[in-house]
Amino acid sequence: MSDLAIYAMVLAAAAATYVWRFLGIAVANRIDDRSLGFRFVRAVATAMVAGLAARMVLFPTGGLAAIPLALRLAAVGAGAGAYAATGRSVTAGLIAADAVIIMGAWWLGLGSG
Amino acid sequence: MARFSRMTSHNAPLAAGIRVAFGPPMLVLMASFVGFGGLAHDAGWPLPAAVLATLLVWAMPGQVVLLGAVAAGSSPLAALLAVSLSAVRLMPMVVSLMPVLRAPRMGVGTQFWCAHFVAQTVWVESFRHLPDIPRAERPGFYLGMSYALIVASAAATALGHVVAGRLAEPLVIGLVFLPPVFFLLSLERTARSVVDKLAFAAGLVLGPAMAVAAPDFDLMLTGAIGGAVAFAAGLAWERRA
Repeated sequence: MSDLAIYAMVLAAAAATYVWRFLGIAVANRIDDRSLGFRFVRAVATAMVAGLAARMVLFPTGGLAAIPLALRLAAVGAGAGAYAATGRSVTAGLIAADAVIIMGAWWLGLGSG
Repeated sequence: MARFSRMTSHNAPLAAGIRVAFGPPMLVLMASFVGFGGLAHDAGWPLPAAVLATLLVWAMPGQVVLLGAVAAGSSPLAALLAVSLSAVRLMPMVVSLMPVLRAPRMGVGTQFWCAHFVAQTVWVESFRHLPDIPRAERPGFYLGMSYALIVASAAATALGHVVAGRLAEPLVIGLVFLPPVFFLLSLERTARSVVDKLAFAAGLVLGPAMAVAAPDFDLMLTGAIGGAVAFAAGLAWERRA
């Protein structure tokens, strides 16, 4: 595909994405943040983001797919443990989870390819 | 002098939002956009096109779908349909965020501008910070945070394009692993009501289950079913107590 066609596709993809943002505004103007409708939509969005995160860990794509499931789960567990132990610090959880997955990947010899 | 002080008070929420962006959310976004820049490089995209995609599409799943569809030689219409399908999840995010974000005398133009920046990370961070901020200051705070995050992500996209193929694999894996862990921990942190906590748990179970059962519509089904069940069960719990 030519560079020009790639730029055209990026613009068109932006428009295709905007549609849902704009529809969201149209609906949002009819509800306020104390209504039941709001709490329902918030629950839907929360379930979606949680589902996406779980999917990224259990069915990864790219380089992460080369990491065994047990190591991915152990890393998430380390992150959750550090998060809980530090009075819910997201930063501590991220550092712990990433330390486990990076050291595990090194130990499995993925660096030497 | 009077004008100066009015300007600074007007910009204070913006500055506070920018400050909040520096930390885990920025780190996580930059990690994933370095990854996207690398993918775009491997797919033969020019660097500005990759940066433009980050600035204008501003939704990682849509950008990855776009890369894949273009690389696979799908017809433009099929590619755009796939991108649009991946962006449906933005609608409930906008619907749930706007009532929290809305300030008195907020114009329609500002609402449309704010909606452009809605994405997973911004949504999660907004729900974490906005409820503690006076309503009049929320749009400024939100935009400051969004500007800082999108600019850092665009820079990370360019960086990823440049360093593609030169990072050690364990580091690349460390980068792509940050976003899911971030979403899991910040969602847990942000879930205050029983409904939110149940929705979080339902999403964890249904996300992978639906990815197996209905891979094309998994996020929509996870949201619709998990959200509805959590809403009904959570309300029943609150009213019983």
